[in-house]
This record gives sequence, structure tokens and C-alpha cells, in this order.
Amino acid sequence: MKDFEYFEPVTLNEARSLLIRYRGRAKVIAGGTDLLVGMKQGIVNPAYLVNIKKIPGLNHIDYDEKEGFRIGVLTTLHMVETSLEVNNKIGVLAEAAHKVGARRLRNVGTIGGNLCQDTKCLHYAKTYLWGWAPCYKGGGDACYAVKGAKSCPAMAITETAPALICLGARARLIGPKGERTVAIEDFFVSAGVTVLAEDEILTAIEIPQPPPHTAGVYLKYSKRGAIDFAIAGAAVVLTLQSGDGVCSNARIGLIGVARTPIRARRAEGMMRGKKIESDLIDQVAKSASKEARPLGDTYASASYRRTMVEALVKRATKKALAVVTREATG
Amino acid sequence: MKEYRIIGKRVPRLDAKELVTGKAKYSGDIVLPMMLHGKILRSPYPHARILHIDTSKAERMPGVKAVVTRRDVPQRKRLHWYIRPGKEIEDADKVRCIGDEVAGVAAVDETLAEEALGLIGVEYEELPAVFDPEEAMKPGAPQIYDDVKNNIVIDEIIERGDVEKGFRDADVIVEESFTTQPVVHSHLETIPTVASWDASGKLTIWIGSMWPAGERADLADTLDIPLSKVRVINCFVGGAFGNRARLSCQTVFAAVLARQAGHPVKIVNTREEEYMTGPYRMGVKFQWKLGARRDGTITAEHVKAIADAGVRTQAVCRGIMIGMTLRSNALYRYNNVRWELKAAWTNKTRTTMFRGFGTAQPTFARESMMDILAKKLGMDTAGLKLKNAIRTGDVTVHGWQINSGGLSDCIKKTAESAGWKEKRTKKIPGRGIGIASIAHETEWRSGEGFLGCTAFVRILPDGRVNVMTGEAEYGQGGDTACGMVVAEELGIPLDWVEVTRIDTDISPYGVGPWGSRLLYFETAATRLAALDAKRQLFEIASRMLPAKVEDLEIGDEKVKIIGSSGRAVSIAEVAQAATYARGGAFITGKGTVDSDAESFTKATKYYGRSALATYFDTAVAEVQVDTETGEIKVLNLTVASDCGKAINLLSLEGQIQGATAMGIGSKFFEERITQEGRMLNSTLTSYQVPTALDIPSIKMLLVESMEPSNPYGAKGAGESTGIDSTAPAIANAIYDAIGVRIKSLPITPEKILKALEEKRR
Repeated sequence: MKDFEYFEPVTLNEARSLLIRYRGRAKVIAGGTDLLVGMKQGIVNPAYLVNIKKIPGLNHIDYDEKEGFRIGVLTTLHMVETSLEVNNKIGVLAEAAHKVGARRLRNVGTIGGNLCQDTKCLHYAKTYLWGWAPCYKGGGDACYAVKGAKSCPAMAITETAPALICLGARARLIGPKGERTVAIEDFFVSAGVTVLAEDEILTAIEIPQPPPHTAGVYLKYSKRGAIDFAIAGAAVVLTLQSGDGVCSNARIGLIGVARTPIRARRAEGMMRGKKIESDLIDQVAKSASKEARPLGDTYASASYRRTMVEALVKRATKKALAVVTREATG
Repeated sequence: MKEYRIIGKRVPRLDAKELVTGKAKYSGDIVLPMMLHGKILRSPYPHARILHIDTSKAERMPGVKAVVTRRDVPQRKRLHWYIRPGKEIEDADKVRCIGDEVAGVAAVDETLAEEALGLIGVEYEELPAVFDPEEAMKPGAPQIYDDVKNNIVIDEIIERGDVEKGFRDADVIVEESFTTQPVVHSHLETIPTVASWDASGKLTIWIGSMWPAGERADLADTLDIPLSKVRVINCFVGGAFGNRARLSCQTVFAAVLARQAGHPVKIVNTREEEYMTGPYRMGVKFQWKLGARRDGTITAEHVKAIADAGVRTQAVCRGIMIGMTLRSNALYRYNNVRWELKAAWTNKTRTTMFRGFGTAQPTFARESMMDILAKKLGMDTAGLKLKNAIRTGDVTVHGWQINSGGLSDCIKKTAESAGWKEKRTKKIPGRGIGIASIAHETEWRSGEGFLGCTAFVRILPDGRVNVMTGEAEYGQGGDTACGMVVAEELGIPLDWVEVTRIDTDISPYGVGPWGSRLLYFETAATRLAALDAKRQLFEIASRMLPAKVEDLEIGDEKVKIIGSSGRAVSIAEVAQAATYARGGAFITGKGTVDSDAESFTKATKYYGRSALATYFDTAVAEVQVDTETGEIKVLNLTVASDCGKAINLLSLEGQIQGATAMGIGSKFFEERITQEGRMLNSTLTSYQVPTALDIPSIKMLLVESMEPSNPYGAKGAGESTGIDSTAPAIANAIYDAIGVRIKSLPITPEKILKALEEKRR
């Protein structure tokens, strides 16, 4: 790991001014479960680390029936997955938070950090130690994992993103020009890159109160029972009209199958205004799998990832539908 | 069956407290005054000539205390019966795989040492490389060694009976091909070495080894110093599984760097280094043909095996190939077999021994074949196995005598316990059950000379007892077994016994843990040593009491006259008197046993009683397959172990659980994936070993067939029980569940889906 200078600001202003002073050479750190790995691997080499964990007021889950949720950026994934309010009102997010890594990681990893997580190449090796040219991930233009790859085949594994996208969540950012909010859907720009400017800090996630008769499910597939990054992950959130059970809104978010978290818009559209039945779900799942843009590696081929999207979307939709139907009718 | 006081019970390991409290000292924990940290610069190319090495910049870097290159590492005799003789660092100027050691640096800390590596300039000339054994064997392939044509490690045929006639006599013939994958040991602790020289030129090495006596001999040989000038202190071992049995190049570098720097040097591999350069179990391709009569009797077996040896590995590869033949054929009653064994060197890092020593590979193929044959015959697989199972009194087709054959009982017990018959006939969609077994030798002889075990039992003046053998404890529980034997034979509590870890300056010579032999020999040797010590104790006590030696017994921590409740003297009193009477020498009992197995050689066509005993297991697996995702869930695993006699039931269970977990890893997750000699999954994130969540609960059944050649009836168990039969049991269960047969490991959901798709077409 390269040497770096470390700061512990106690106000957002202080943190921001550090980011401005060291623009481009500083990194914000909170739980550190992603950044430190990247630093140890030599992928990210910040000269300055700005730890925002000492800043008060960023670690909270606020809920209001009108405003919905406001979750502080420093809220740990464990707090999210165990929050009664989150479980009751937006269970899909609790499910997603629960599926991030192992318990020990969730105890320190934050929801903000999860959203800012880099893409993961399971095949990354410290090329500089082996005397090889750096790979895409290491800032070079080679790939040792997938022969002939034109760019880094690593996929986005930001586990909480699909749920937040489906819930219509927004990210609250603070920068030199003040505050702004961005839909989580638009938060991700490209592989490992978000809309956050170098001198901006993510402060909170805002999630609107879901309409009545809404239910969501997040499902993930990985090889082992725990701790693995997702080969594919899918969140489905459905809203039904009361009475006739027609789908008034549907959202599908995916990870592991593109360089950023994505929405399967065509698949969503197929459900809107329809009564959701088994045949339709099959078509929706097929469409979602076509909308996925996975690249394969030795961990899972592109076609397998697509197959998994189909299976996961199908199962998540059925499960969400069962929950919401039960709610809407009884 | 004889009733014992301690043997056969569930006894926590003597070192359990050390291990679970984190107090156990591993070689990586050793810190010495002025100790430096070493790092190794390795070859980035799979095959290249080194034209020039410039170390001058690295040498000038502040904090760097020594820089050595391949050329500084002694070129004399070099290492290992198990690699090309004299060829660990084969030529100073040639590298043959990615990771071959090129230079080493010792510096005041690890980061500096790593930085200094970057300052070493190496000029290479890349050479053509070959990565596939079949390619490597073709004429015109790149030659990895100038003196070996077509890179061939082994090309031999082992044949018994008349295979052609056997197939002519068969009513049914089945033939399939199978592939097993390279698998890495993945021990928890990456290998650390600490080397230190004293002023007299004596080298001390702290290491975690499976065979400290071998490390010592190899180091003395390599460094060309007398054996007495090398002391190997064996620390706790954080997992070995076959990978820590012989001297590694890293240890040689640590020694050479320490000598040059004049300070102790520690080298610890990173996980990435360990994976990228480390040895692993070789993958084998099989073509398997089996003939049987209508009633299930196997009439002939013809196996063609091709293995990828990686670089360098020679004797071990040959041993594994021959061993897999003899061992695989110890499971059933064969009469006509032909095994065509081929292996070639390739420009991949070297392969080595791995728990089972060639049991995993053929077991996957053979036990799948038994299931295929049973289907073709319309027989029940368990029934087919029972029909052919080897039994007590049999001599295997290669000449092994079976004196305790519990295989049939293993099959019957697991089948019954797992509800085999019912589950095999009453089908639940996506659910299936499969069965498989292994045979493994306990001790086999592949050379001449001493192949037994020596133990010392010392009774200290306070009556407590110290035990020493020449064989290492590296997780398998041998030390505890020795302690149990001594406590049993001396009639003392187990916590009076302490077993000393190996220090080659004080421990007797040990011949190493090959072929699941340790428990078998250690229990026999420590028993003799305990009896010898007891005899000496009684001699002194007989004078103290006084009484005749033959009238004495031990009870209630005392030596007393049999049947009398009055006259007795405490063990401590006798031991103290004995120590004083002998001028300070403790009562020391010695026990030695040797092996009378016949050595298998090419001259005898590998026929003969080369194994002293054979142990067996059977695994039954029940799985649920998700046909949409390809996911496989192992619902139940039942494993029966014919270990002869369980010395420590708790250890046995632990060993079998660990082995079965390892088996599940190499079944579902693990594969050393390489591209042009470079390992692609060189981290624990990508090289996936199972976690506790991936292991089903394992039901263990005990079959005690009582091996007559061990005083307690013990054979082996820990090495191979559960680990290798799990794979084919699961594969057979998958076939039972969804009718597709996966013939290559690991079995991934992706392969399941592909096979299902092919079946639908």
C-alpha cells in the first residue's frame, strides 16, 4: 500500500475543504471495506484519506409517513438490515443490505460506501509484483481474466442499488456550491464511477414513502452461501391498484450483469397496466435477461448471468406479487 | 473387543486449548532480535532464459541488508526425491514457470523488501512454452528439459490378468471419459519460514512442516553443510494437506539471505504468491472402460490416464499415478485390469501431493462408472458394489493383502442409515441420492530401509510423562493419539502426559507421513516405549516395596501389588528414586517398530504386498437440484469409516468433517484456472473454498474391522475418509435426481444447466 496522509474532520465543511484542497488526490473513507481492499491491491492510491466517520449527524434512519425515509450516509448496512421501520415499510432494502458480504463487513460497511463501491474483478492480481503490464483495473490496457477483452469485464456489485432504484430513492450530495439531490438511478455513471464530483460528499439517501399495495423482493445468486459478490442480483418492486389488482407500477433493478446497476425498463413496462399472471412473468423475466448487459469471466459466463437474471426476476416477481396480492386483498 | 480406559473414547486434543485460545505459536509468530524480512522476485514468464540480473540498485537501497539471486543459491546436489533429482532450482539461468524464484531481498521490513524487488533489473529471453500435457508429449513441442524427450514424466502400463478375455467374457461393457481439475491445498496459514545462523555456522529453521526430519536432511544437502549443523524446530502448522511435506525453495532463500545478511530472516508468502506459485493437486483425464457379467461381476477394467504434472515434479507424479492404480483396484475384486499411465511436464507451476495422494481423481471416475454400470445392468448401485466389494482375506489384483476389510459393512451401514432403498425408488422431483467409496493404503513401501517409527517415553521425577516421536503433528491428531496410548498403557490420567513437538536436535528421526501411516506406526511405537518405561518403573518399585516385578500394577496413580490394597508407592516417588539412582537420568522407555511391507518397484511390475493395511469408506449423498438455476443443495451426507479401530473418536469425527468439507470444495467450487501458465483466480475471493454455510451436516458411522497388524486394530482414516468419495456420491445423486451425468469437476450450476439443455435436445 502506498503511503497516505490521514484526516479526521469533525464537520462537513471541514471535510469539504479538505477535498477541495486535495482535489483529485483525496478519497473519502467511512467503513473502508471497499476502499482499503482497493488500496491494498494497488488499484486506488490516494495521497490523502478523509475519514468522515467522526462527523456527527450522518448516522441515522429517519422515517416520516409523508416524507418517507432519510438514511444517513454513515448508517451501517447492519443497521439498515435490522431497522424495524425499514423492514416494515421498504423490506426490499433490508433484504439487499442483509445480502452484502458477511456480518462483520456489514457491521462496519455503510450504505453510502456500498453505493460508492467499485466494480469487482475476481481475477485481479498485483501485476506490478509479477512484472506484468497493468490490467484495465490497475489503470493499464490489458486483461488477464478474459482473453481479448476490450475493457475491464468487472461488473457492478453494489448490492443495495437495485432496491434503492426500484424504490425511487435519491442521493443527497453536498459540494462547494451547496446541496443537490440525484436519483439513485442516475447516480452511477460508468464502472466504479458515480456522479459525485471530487469535492462532493454523499450525505444521505432519501426514499419516498411507497404507495399503498406495494411490495418488493431482492434476490441474489452467488456460488457460495455467504460472503460472495453476486453473479446476479435482482430487485423487483410492484404496486397494484386496489380492487382490481392491476399493476400500476413496476420496477426492476439489476446488478452483477452490467458495469453499473441497471433498470430493466422494457420488462417493467410489460407489467404496467396489466394483471400480472404466470405467462406474463415468464415474458418479463426473459425481457429482463435480454436487457442485462453482462460480460463473462471464468467465475460466470455472460450467458449464465443472463439465465440467472431470468430466474431471479421470475422468482422475485412471483414473490413480490404474492405479498402485495395478500396485502391488497386482505 | 477389548475395553480400554482411554483409547476409543472422545478425547479433546492435547493442544486444543492452545489452538482455540490463539496461544499456539506458528512459525509466522516467531520474532527474533534483529530479524529481517525477505521477499522473493519471481519469474513473470512461463518459460524464459535469464540473460542478466542487475541487483545493484536494490543493494544500494537504504534498509536492504541482503540481495541474492538464483545464482547464489547453491547449485550442488539440490533437492528432492520427489522432483527431478537435483532440480529444485534447476539451472541458474532458466525459469520454467511463472513464479520460479529469480532473486531474494532481505530488508528491515516487508514493505521495503517488496519495494526493493522492483529495483532488481532482470533481462529475459522468452522461450516457447507448452501448457497442455497432450500437446507437451507431441514431437516438436517445446522441450522443458534438454535431457528429457517430449516432456514425459511417466509412460507406463500396469496390467494383470487378461483384459481382452475379460471384456470378451463381459455381458455388458461401459465406457466414458472423466476429467478432474487442479485443486490447491488452501491451508489457512500461508507458509512462513524463519532462518537464523549462529556463530558456529549452525542453521536453525522455524517452520510448520509435515516432515521436519526431511526438511533438515534436504537443507543440509542443499546448502552442503553437515546434517548436525541444521536444526529444524517445528511450530504449529496452519494446515498442510500434503503441501508442506518437503523443503520449499522459499526456505532455501531464507537460509541463504540470512547467511548473507548476518541476521535472521523471515519469509511469509502472501495468499496471492501462494496461489500463483504454489503447488497443487494435478488434474487427470481418464478414459474408463468397464466390463461385467449379467450378475454384476466385474470381468475387466481398462483405464487410460493422462496427467498434467506442471514443472519439475517427478517422483511424486509417478508415485501418484502408480498409487492411484494400486489403490483404486483395492476396492473391488478385479481379475483383469490394464492401466495406461501417462503424465507430462508443462510450463505451469509444479504439482505435488494432496490429501489422498491420487485418490480423488480415479475415485470420481470409478465410482461414477459403477453407477453407470449398475444402470446398464439394471442393478442397484449399492448392490453392485457389494457384489464386487473386496473382503477380509482377499488379495487385491496388485498383491495387497486385505486383513481387515470393512468395505461391505461401510456400504450396508450408510445405505441403511441414509434410507437408500426407499429414497432410490420413491422419487421426489429434483431430488436424488448417490453412493461412492474409497480404498486407501495405510503405509506403503516404495523404497528400501527403515520405514517404521521410534518413540521415547520419559517418566519425569514428578511422575508426569513426556512423549517424543520422530513424526510431526500437523493437525491430524497424532500427538494426542500417542498421549492416549501412553496414558492407557501406564494407567495414568491423560493430563499427566505431554507430547513434545518436533525439534530435530532432540527428537528421533522420523520417516514422514506418507500413505496415512502415522497413527498406525505411532500408536505401535509409543505403546512399546510406554511398556519399556513401565518395566523400568516396576523394577525400581519392586526394590522399594519390595515385591516381585510380575506382581505389580498401576492404579490410583500408584505402583501397587496386584490384589493388595495396602502396599503401594506413588509413581512420583518411584520416578524420583529412579532418577536419583541413575544419576539424574530419567526413566526412558524406547519403542521402535518397522515395516515389513514389500517394496513396489518397476522390476516387480509394482506387484506385491506394498501396503500393510487398507482402509475404506463409503459416502451417501442426498441432493436437491434446482433445474432453473442449476444450483445443487446437499441435503444429507452420511459417511462410514472403516478405520480398523478408532483411537480417538473425537479426532476421527473432526478429520472426517474436515475432509468432507474439503471434498465438497473440490466438488462444487474449487479449480485452479490458468491461462498460459498464469493462475487467474489467485485470491480467496476467486478461488472459492467452502465456508461453514456450504457444508451440510455430516452423519458419521463407524465400522471397526480391527486391523490385526496394529496392537489396537487401527489403520488410517484422516487422510482420505469422506474427502474423495463425496464427489462421486454427489455426482451420482445428481444423476439420480435429474438424469444428467457431470463428468468433469468441479460440478457447477453452469455445467448442470448446460447438461440439462443437451438432454432436452
